Amino acid sequence: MLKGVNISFSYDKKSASENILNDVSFEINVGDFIGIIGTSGSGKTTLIKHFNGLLRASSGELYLNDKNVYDKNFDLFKLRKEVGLVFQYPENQLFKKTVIEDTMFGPINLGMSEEEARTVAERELKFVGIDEVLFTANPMELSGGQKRSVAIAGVLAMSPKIIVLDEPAAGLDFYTKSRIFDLLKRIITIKKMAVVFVSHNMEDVANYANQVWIMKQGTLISKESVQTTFSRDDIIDLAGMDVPEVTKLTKDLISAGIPLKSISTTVDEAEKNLSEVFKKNRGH
Amino acid sequence: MIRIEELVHKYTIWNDQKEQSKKIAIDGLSLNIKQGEFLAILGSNGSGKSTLAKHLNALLLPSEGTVKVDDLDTSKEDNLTEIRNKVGMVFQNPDNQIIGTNVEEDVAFGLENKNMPSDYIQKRVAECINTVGMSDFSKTSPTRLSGGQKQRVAIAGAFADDSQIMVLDEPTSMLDPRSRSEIIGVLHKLNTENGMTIILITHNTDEVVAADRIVLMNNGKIVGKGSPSEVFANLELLREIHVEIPQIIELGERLRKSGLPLSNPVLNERQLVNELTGIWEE
Ligand SMILES: Nc1ncnc2c1ncn2[C@@H]1O[C@H](COP(=O)(O)OP(=O)(O)OP(=O)(O)O)[C@@H](O)[C@H]1O
Ligand SMILES: Nc1ncnc2c1ncn2[C@@H]1O[C@H](COP(=O)(O)OP(=O)(O)O)[C@@H](O)[C@H]1O
Ligand SMILES: [Mg+2]
Ligand SMILES: [Mg+2]
Repeated sequence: MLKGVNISFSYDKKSASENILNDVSFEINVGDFIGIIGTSGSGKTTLIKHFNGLLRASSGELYLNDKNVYDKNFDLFKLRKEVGLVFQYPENQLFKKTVIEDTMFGPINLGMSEEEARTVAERELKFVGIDEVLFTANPMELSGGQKRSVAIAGVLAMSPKIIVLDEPAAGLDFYTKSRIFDLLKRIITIKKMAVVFVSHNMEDVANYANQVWIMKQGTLISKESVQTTFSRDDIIDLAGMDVPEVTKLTKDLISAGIPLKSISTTVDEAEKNLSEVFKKNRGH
Repeated sequence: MIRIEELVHKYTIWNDQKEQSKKIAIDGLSLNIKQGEFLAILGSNGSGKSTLAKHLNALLLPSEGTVKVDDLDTSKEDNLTEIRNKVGMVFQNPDNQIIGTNVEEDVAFGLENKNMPSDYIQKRVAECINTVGMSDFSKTSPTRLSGGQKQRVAIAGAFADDSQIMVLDEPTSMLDPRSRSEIIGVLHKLNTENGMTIILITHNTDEVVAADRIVLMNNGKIVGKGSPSEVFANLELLREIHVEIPQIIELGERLRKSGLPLSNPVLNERQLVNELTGIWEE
């Protein structure tokens, strides 16, 4: 659906030596749930701003359904419509008087009539779980999680095919965070979309993503499954990342001679694997 | 020493220009924080953590009750300068707190205000920027920094001030895992070596297992407090107030309930490895 080929970028157009992105290539398809990790300043936010054309590569190509986005004849509007971006702390950008108006803002900008926009806005607010009585509330009065859900509804109202979120769980408590991630899961299965999110929480990535991208100094150094990513100590180390606590645990137990089948990346997996070997062991 | 007695905070909400209503964010909260203590505050979104934090350096004043920092009442205007000198603060959103035109200037801001000699300022600022790993960015404008970089600059600014008490409101929410544990490590070092009182608000609960004491907040009230082993021995309460349970503690509980003879709680990875290998070898 969206494909990048050798994308390089520098904020300072004059000096290419200051490249923030270096030859980044990737592909995003329906059904993907991609978690992007990397140290701060590695270029994650810069990269995702290319996905909907907010930033334009200094060199390289971006294809939306095989059409070159950087072609003179390509209508960038189309990219903005297909790829929705939710920024870090999006609640700072809710600025209309009511929740519904805020959610209608995007679709109206895309040229929808007031009436149409209201219909899709109402539909998406319901989809993300905002109660109808809150439609006319001031966004400032909502809780942190509700604000973030409204921001996501605002993007969904533009019917994108890909939704990209910069640290969607930062600053949220456990319950609220789980609700947001469950919502993203539903978006993938029900709306047949792709979700890409940036995260600093290895545990969230392991729990929800089906693909992990690792950025290091502007280069995409790995694109693998959760299991493969967190079993590769060399790559994790090179990227200055960490593994989930249960992964560390299962690695150390294997080193200590406990015959686990494989490392685990989630608590559920670790519980299952450990219960099995300990049951056998205590059986004799 | 900080003494909070029967603190109530009511925010005024203006529905329109004439009509207003009150929102109770802190609801009769009492707490003493000892000098040199490493205190962690956990609670769901909206439970009142940031509001409480802002009372500790008199950014907000009590609607009812009192807050005293070393016997200085925060509601007395004469005490303001002294309180602000004692209590350093890292806010939840670094965007609202970075003011300098470059990183160096920003970190120096507090020291300049205290009229410190300039060679001291220079040395101290360089040191603190280095501590948070931002030396390559000393001359960079804040508008050119990533989220995590801004957060680290805000933390360096607080370090530079050498306050007796430091309050940090979700200081690591945008940091990668290693920077996160580095910063938490520095906080523990300041606490043990310099005797700095640390008050840490966070959603990353694995950061609090080494705190002296944990306070649980819900709906503007304290609903639980104790050492990490006390607090994490009652996971039901944590679940009820939507606080995340660290993976190792959660796994330890599940394995214990399925019959393995593990401690309650198992606080960290080392301990769980040791206990499990012990059971295995038996
Ligand atoms: N507007 C800008 N102008 C110039 N340089 C910038 C700008 N925004 C970011 N940078 C620089 O580009 C690099 C990558 O920044 P980016 O925001 O993409 O990082 P990130 O991986 O998202 O980090 P974080 O995890 O801290 O959010 C950093 O070195 C940063 O200082
Ligand atoms: N400036 C403000 N005006 C009105 N209400 C506020 C303001 N700041 C916070 N609140 C409300 O006070 C309560 C506690 O908020 P806060 O202290 O920010 O919680 P936390 O930091 O635990 O998420 C919430 O209900 C919040 O909506
Ligand atoms: Mg970023
Ligand atoms: Mg807060």
